[in-house]
Amino acid sequence: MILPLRRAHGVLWLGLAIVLPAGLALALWSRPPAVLPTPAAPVGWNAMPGAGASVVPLDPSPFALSVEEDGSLRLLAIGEPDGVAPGLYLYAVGSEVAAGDALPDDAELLGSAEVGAAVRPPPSGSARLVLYSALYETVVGVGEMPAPGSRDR
Amino acid sequence: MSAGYRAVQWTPHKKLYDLLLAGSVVVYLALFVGLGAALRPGATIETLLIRGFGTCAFLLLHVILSLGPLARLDARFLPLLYNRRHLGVTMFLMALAHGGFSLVQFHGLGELNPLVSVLVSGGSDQSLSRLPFQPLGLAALVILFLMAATSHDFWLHNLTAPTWKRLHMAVYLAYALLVLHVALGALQSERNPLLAVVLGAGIAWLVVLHLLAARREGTADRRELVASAGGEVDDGIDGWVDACAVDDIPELRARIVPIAGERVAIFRYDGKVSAVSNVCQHQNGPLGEGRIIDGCITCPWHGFQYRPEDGASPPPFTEKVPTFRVRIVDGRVLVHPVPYPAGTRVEPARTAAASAIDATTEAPA
Repeated sequence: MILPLRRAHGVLWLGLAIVLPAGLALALWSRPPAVLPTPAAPVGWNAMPGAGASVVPLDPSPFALSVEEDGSLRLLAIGEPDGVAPGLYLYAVGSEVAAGDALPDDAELLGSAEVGAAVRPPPSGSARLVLYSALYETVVGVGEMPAPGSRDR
Repeated sequence: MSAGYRAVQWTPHKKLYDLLLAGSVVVYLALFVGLGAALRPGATIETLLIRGFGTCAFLLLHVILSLGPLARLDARFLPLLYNRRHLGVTMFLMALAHGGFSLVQFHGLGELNPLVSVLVSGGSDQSLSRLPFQPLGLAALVILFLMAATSHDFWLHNLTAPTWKRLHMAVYLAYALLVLHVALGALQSERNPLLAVVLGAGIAWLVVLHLLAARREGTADRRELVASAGGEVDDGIDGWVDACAVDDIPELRARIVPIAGERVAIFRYDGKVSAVSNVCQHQNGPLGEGRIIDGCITCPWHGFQYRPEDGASPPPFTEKVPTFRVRIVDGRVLVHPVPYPAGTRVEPARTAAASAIDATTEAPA
């Protein structure tokens, strides 16, 4: 009466013993890497801010912002120029914030952060520029706004 | 044990069980949301609740799937098995809350019907797998709903225990779907390796536990077959099986012996020996692991009772199990392998000691 059930139960768990670890391993193996390759970022190109621009590192990420003379911003890859995390956004904030934090309440969106693309200038009075990963829901880079008039290559 | 339909037959044990269960769930959710808000201030309350309900349901499912093999490996876990169905319904409610909140949060504001949106949504665009994890969770939720909806004794009685148990084995499929739901969903974006380790440990725990219990059951069957070394006894009538020695059976308890591919529980009580099927008619619990209480074999799982002589529950109850003919020859218990129909009375065999007392009593003064 229940012997077939017991046998079915044993066979089922033997199957699960193979399928479940394999499924988990496959899912972990197929996870998106923290940093994805950037096909559109040739080496050397991204480390060339425009003439007269300031460079604001977004620590600790391998990115920086080029603050152009007209106030617009461009994302540069300055560290290992081989990657960019998916779903990055640039914000201007006034409050204290560090990498690993959640996005502060006073964050103002400047635009989607793509290497080489320009985003709108930050509003006056912004103290920091923040690179935020929507995928990981955390701040991945912070840079201080350059003092007015300063220029740094 | 109920003679008729009752929504829930409350006992102090069940009330305490459910009270502890409800308290544990509330404490878990409060801790999850509280700690989550403290550690991740950016997370919204909706997100924390969705994750809290989901992890609570998944944890409960691990507990539920652990109880069966744990009770097989150690009888001290039997009291937890007693009310496992309430645990299952609670787990389904947690999963339903997780699914419901997710539906509203992630699919309620689009142009598509939220359920259609769940079914057509894909995984992360950045993932090589790109397998949709939400339909997996929805499929598991449907299975868990079926489990919860048919968990009552009403369905158990109408479907019969073997069919009901086959149906409820679908919970293993639900578990597999949920493992993939978590692995292809939460683990794709949450990078903390601890989460993957915990999920892997949960899988390993359940797999090892179930395989250990299955191995132990198989080993016990084989040991009993070897122990009944006499095998079939040719008594000139038909094949009887030498099951065990009378002294191997503790008073008011049973020896479980596999005969003709199924287990037979041989009980010893008041100088008598009777044999019935080891399978309780309620949930197929192991009658031979129970005791004789108030003259009735009492199932260790939920307390269903049967008279040892005829395998029938005392009135007004109507459950019956098959019975077997029993003889005692030279201190050995012989059982005929062909069962009688459930509820058939069979004269118990008398032990030598009981027979001697009978002879003394009947002797003329």
